[in-house]
Amino acid sequence: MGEPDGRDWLDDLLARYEGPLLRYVARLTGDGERARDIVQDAFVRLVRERPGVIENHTAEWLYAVCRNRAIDVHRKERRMKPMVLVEAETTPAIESPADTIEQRDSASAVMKLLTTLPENQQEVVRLKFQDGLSYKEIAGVTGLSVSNVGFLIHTAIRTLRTRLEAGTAGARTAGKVTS
Amino acid sequence: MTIDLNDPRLTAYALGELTEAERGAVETALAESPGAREAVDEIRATAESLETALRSEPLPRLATEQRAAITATQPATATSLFRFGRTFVGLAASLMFVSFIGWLAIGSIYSRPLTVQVMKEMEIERRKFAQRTATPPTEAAVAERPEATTSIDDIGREATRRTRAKLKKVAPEFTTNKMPLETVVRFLRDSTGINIIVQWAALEQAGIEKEKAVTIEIFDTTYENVLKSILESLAIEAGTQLAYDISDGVLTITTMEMLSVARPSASSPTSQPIESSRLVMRHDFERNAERPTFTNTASIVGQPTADPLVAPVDATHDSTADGTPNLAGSQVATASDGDSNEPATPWHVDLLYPKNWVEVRAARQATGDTASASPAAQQQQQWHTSAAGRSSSLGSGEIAGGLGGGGGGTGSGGNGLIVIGTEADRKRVEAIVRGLDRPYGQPGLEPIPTNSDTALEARAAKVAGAPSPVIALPDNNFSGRVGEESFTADDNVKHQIAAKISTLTALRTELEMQKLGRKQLWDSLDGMKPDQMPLTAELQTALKSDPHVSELQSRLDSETRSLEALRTARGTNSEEALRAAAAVQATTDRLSIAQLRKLEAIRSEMLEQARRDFYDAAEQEKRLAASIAEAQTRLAIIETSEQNEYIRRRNQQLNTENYAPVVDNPFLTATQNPLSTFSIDVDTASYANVRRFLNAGQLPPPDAVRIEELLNYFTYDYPPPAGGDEAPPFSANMEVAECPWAPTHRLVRIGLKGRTIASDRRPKSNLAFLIDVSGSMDEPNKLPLVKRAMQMLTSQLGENDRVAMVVYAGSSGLVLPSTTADHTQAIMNAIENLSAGGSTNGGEGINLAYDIAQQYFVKGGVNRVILCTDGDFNVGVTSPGDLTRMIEEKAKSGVFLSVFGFGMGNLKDSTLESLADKGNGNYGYIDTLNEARKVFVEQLSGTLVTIAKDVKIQVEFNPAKVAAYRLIGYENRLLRAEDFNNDQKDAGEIGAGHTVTALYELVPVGQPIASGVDPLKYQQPPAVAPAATGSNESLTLKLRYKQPDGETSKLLEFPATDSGKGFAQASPDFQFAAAVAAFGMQLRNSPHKGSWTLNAVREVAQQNRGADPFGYRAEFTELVGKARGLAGR
Repeated sequence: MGEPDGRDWLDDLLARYEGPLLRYVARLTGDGERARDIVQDAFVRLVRERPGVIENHTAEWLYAVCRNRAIDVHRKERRMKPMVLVEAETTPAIESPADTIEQRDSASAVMKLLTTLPENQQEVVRLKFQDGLSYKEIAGVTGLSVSNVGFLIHTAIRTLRTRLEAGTAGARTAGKVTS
Repeated sequence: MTIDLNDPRLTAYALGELTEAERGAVETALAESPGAREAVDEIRATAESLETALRSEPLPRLATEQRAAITATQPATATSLFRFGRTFVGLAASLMFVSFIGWLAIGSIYSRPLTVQVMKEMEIERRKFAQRTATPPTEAAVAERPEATTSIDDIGREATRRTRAKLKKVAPEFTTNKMPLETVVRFLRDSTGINIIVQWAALEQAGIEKEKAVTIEIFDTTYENVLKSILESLAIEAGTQLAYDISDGVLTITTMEMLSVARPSASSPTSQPIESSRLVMRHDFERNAERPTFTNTASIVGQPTADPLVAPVDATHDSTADGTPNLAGSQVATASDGDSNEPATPWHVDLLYPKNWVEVRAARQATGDTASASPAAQQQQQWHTSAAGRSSSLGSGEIAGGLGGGGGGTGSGGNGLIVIGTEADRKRVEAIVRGLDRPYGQPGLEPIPTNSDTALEARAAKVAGAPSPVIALPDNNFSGRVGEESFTADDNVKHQIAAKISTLTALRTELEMQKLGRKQLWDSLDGMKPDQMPLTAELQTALKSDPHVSELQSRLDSETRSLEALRTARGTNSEEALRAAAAVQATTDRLSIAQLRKLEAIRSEMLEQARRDFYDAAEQEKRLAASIAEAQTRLAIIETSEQNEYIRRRNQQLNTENYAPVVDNPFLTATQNPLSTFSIDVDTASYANVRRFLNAGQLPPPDAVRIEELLNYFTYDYPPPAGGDEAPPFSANMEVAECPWAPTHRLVRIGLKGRTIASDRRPKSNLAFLIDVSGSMDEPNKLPLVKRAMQMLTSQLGENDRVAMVVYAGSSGLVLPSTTADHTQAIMNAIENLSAGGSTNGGEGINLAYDIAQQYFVKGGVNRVILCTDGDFNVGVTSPGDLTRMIEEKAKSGVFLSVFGFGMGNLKDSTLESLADKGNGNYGYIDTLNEARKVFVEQLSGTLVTIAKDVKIQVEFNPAKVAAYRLIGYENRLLRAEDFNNDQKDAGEIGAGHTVTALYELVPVGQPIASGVDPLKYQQPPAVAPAATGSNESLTLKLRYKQPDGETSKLLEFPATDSGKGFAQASPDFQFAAAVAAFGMQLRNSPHKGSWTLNAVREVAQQNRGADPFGYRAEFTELVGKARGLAGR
């Protein structure tokens, strides 16, 4: 890295990416503890990386390293326990009155609907809107092409929009939303 | 440019992701499309709410020590440690691509040194650390301790917290039945993911062995409760107290007597007698004041000595409240810590023994300062005194030693082992701690799970040692009796079997190799335990040259220096110097602990990796073993059935598809044999079989051609019987005309026509389908055709009819209980679900089917077992004699049998025909869907409803008109003349609407008889009765039949006269029947086939097709054409 003697640089990076990376990896692995280990490793590797390799792709690099490691871990564990899948949480819970109230809040409605999207769309949407990565950076992290990332995000937003409209329309008429 | 709403560029534009040029293009397009503009707005709105929602999700944080580890990392100087890590991961990844065997080889070569080297580092670190910390630090270090210990304790607490959380997880079910304790622990470890250490030595002393059987059955409770229950039950049995302790995330199971210095471990014979020392359990109040759990360690209280390392010791100082004489180790603290200015504070040395290293550190004794102790500490004291009865002689001062930390606000003091004592005590403690601390013998890290391995070995042994399914084939020493073609076929079978055996051998070899490879892996993993494997020279060199090791070495040096500084400082008693030295010490400690954590984490990860890879290997091997076993089973099945087939064929001299030999009936003189008697036969199987051969481009074997079955395949337009139910159930029609293949001869056709029954007047049916689902039925023209045929039949049935279905293969079973036919779906499903597999036990299935049919017997109705098979009975009752006797027995119950043969190649025609014959039934051969339709739809009534049974025909010829006669076909239906009137003699059945046709070729008087027998010398030909000479009748037809449920026969007589008409004047049915008979004779190459050619036969058949609504006669014409082509005549 560029500033081998400036520890401020590292502190800045930590302050900026520690939380988002943990959040991202925790989603991938479904395990907060593991996420911590992975993110810690990623930062350690970042520090050790030869100067000039990462340049100003730090965010992309960190996300990509974390992602690869998370997938390694996930794969390794799946080899051991094929029945346990992280995707289990993608099924929306059964409606309850509380859910209905909650869904009137558009933010949580969006969150709920987000879980109905395919896993790959969820991931790029999160990288884009939660972590503020550009299409190009997302492409670098996920190994997809830029246009594929664009397509996934476009499709995800369209789907969300349609379902959101259907949801609010349903809420107006029936007082109950189904997603 | 126009833009589509599905264009991802819209979204990219809305999110500002486009390049300038693209943006311009999109903007132009947007200007023209209000819809697209709206879409962009919507995308932005959605994006905004997504952003709001997603960004409001909580942001987790790294643990403090993780952040510390990151910031402590040296940039751009990757240590060997991390190179190892990466190399190993890379290696593991590449390993996945090499073959399994290759993997083992590579794995055993490369993974060993890498892993071992890392472990060596660990070990060296550990030893250095132990070495360093074995030296009690000075009070100055103590003064700095609160700061220094924070991170250590944090780490330990964090790990402990995780472990506790894991313990709190609910176990859905935890059941063991006399499982060895060791296995239970491993099971627990695997289910919780907690690193569990068991101090077997301590447990064994308490009489609890590793093999101790544990039986426990717990549902829906936490693992903590599971663990407690196990320990409680063990403790009660052993009469001792067991405890577990969580420290630094490691759960240790031990006895209350653990570390008992009173019973020094046998492995340390150098220990001194320890009357003066004592061991107590400490309670950890840190987390759970209500529920004591045992925290690590013990305190050892010993007589102070002038130990130079602990010195300067004030041996006289006794800080205990009760003045317990043997509590003493003390030392003057001069630290300026504000918390205590108390001089003459005894030294307590705490031992931490996290997973695999030891730290001995000093904790300041808050001497007797119980007043300032936290409530927890007071509780601790109370518990301590009450629970550890043995320790009653310990003074509160010693107890208060545990309060030092508690008073310090971290509660960590309670975690430590506090040593007050001599060098001898210290050594003992170290020895004990080492005993506890089994870095590489930790059960949790055992690389190879012995139990699963044993199971694997056992399985492999079972597979390998299983009796070979290879069956020695009989030598091909009967070739003299074998036709060329059959011989080749059998050779093929032998080759196939040989190929299968060699495949199996290859598989076995592979299994052996894998077992060997796995053994090697095992050995290499085992060898990774450093204490079991001496350092090789290369490793030593590698270690020496490793920068990381030298780094550690230099750090050790610096620490030694700092210790020296401390000592010196203590000597000079300079507070400033002490502080400075302590600061140095603290920093080094923190760094090395972080480093050690890292090493430990990596080591366990690698071991874990090795363990998983090993599991993978084991898994793969398991799968392979399973597939081998499966292959063996399949092979055994194939071989058994092929073997049976082979033996059976040899027994029958390789007379492949079984056809009973048929010898054409000869001409008989009317004077010597005036009576011709035979049983009727409505079977049609032979025709379908002949058709199958011809369609396959092959002439049928002569014995497969039964002319009467050819004749009866076709329906002739005979007038139905007149009169009501009392009248005879069938009519008889006779026609005499010129014999087309021997113009001087006459041809007589006898035609019977059964009463037709409209399908709506059909009596109730009670059918039991008996379906062969053996492996040989698994061909497109067998089971699938059976299914369709049965479905066709079922669709003809109504609510009054019942259907049951029995299958037979290796085992027989009722797949559909007797069900009324209006439950169409249930029946159709049952039929659809049939699938083939296994060998055949026909006998058992037949019994079951008859039982069902009898159970639902309908009086006056149709009670019938319908057998669908390729006739390959190869298990159970297989001798045709046994089988037919059984059927004959069953037929007496009134249940009739219909036999339908399916498929080819395996058809046991003779078996099936005789079954139907003995079972009061009919035999059909279904080779096509059309044939199925004919039998099960168009002629269903005939198939199911028998209108007369035991129908016999006897023809008396008038010697005045007939010199000789010959019955065409019916060779195996001939009866003796006296059998005609014998009602005990079984004969054929006739179904509703069936026609039965028989042909006689007559030699009129005056024509030469080709009998080849000289006229009799001693005997006059019998005189012809006057009735004969005076009559125009050529013959009289006599019929006997029984009602389907009758026991006595009725007799009918019909005379026939020859009007002398030529063949061309005969009825179309007569001409067609003659063509069919001639065709049969040609195929059989009968000596009586005469002058007709197949060409002429075809022409006649063509001309006399008649209405032929279903095209059967047209098909016949085609077959004749095919036969002509094949026969070349």
